[in-house]
Amino acid sequence: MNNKLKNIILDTFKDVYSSQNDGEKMELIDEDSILLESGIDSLGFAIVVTKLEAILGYDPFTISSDPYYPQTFGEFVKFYDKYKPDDV
Amino acid sequence: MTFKKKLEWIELDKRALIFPNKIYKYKDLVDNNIKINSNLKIVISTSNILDALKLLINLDGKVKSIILIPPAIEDRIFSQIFITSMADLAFVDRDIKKTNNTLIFNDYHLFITAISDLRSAENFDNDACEWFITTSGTTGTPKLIKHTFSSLTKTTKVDYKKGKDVIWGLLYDYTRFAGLQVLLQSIIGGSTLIIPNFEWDIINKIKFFSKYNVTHLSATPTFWRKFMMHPNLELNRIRNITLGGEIADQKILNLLSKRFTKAKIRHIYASTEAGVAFSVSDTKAGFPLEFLNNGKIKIIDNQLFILNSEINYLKESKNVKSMDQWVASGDFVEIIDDRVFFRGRISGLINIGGDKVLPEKVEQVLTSFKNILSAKVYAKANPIMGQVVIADIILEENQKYLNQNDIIKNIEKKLYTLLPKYMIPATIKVVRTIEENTSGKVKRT
Repeated sequence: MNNKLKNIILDTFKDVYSSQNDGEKMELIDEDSILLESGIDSLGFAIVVTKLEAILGYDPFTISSDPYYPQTFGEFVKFYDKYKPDDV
Repeated sequence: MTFKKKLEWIELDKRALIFPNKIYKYKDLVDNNIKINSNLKIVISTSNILDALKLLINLDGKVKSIILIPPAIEDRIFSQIFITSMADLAFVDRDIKKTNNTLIFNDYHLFITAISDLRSAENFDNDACEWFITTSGTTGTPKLIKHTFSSLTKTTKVDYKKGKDVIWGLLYDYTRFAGLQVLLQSIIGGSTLIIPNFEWDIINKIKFFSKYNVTHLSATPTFWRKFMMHPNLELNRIRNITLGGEIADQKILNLLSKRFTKAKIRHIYASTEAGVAFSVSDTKAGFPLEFLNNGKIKIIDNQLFILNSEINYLKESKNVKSMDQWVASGDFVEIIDDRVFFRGRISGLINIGGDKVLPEKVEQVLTSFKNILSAKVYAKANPIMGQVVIADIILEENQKYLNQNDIIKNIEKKLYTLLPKYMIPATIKVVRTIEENTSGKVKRT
């Protein structure tokens, strides 16, 4: 797995979790952690995706033609890795 | 009373209009070659303000209606309005084909010769000469809104002693409500109107106003914020500031009070449809709850409603709203203690998964931050929620050298204590400018 990308995504998850939960720190998650159980709701995910687009310059959900929603953190990172434009 | 009659007391030798290359006196506005008394509909759509003003002064009360169409509007929309107007004669800048049997002229002298040649069966003296003005509306095609010289000047002050020392600056299109208000106020007041080149940037316009010692200026809050970004620009003689067209937040009112300690500052609530509904001069945002006692405005479900008799419509148009007594303004308001605050256009509501966000409300919270000068909040498409809210902000001068990421992080943190989650912008971007439309308002889609 692309570690740099993974860390950027993880940091963003942590930031959004913290903002949405009064500054509380997010519990550790790993590749198999289920996104819906992470404590971030759909608004939170919408914000994560928006922030990642601003940081990375792309949004895989828009690029990919299939409606795919990653279930785990690992799938989420792989999804971003798969659609990463070459110059990123 | 007609426009012309209202000017009878003014000294003809007084300067009326000052352009970059020419100065005109009140005597230049009188045109005794215009002889007409006829039940005609006339379109005026020229960027030559002198010619337009001469026509307005000399035709008011002598024709059935005058239709003002913005000279810079795109051809397609111009045609739509032109055809709807069913005018008999038109004085326009642009080349257009003859339609509806309308006689079209580009040349002022040919135009007045033509109207003077027309004879009607009877004398036609009309104190209720209709003036039609376009509004951009929210659906794209501008509507024609009916006024009279009287309804357009219902709040115009006429005081000879004061008017002669007043110098107004013109920033907006005279064919639209805001610009027309300034034009009429200046001329009826016997004041001088300074008219810069509309293509100039704000710096050059202000310098031109300053050169001619402008004392009175009316503009949108967006304009005033831009002005505040240039501390070296001066308007030393300004003593009367008006804000209109957009929500005047406390921040801009404070900044202007501080910068112009001797000026009278007011913000007005007006629309092309309703005219000037009321003005607020206590330098506080919003308006006093007691204004609702005047019987002309009321609040239902957080929306401001205005009494129908205060509104003007093109009756024959398909755009006529219901003839109910109270007309929805489209403005969302919030009452806090004895004050009513404007929170935004209802049509601009952003739907975030069922929760509704008023962009202007979030903008007001952002500009209340010491380090933020102005903000634009808008929707961005999102694969998960459909839409999210995002913001562009302009920082105060002294913030520009600090770490922007830190600034943004602090702003976000603070926002979580001030607004519900769904209203908080998902991302905040620092920008140098926020785009505005031709009326000087923040450009929203």
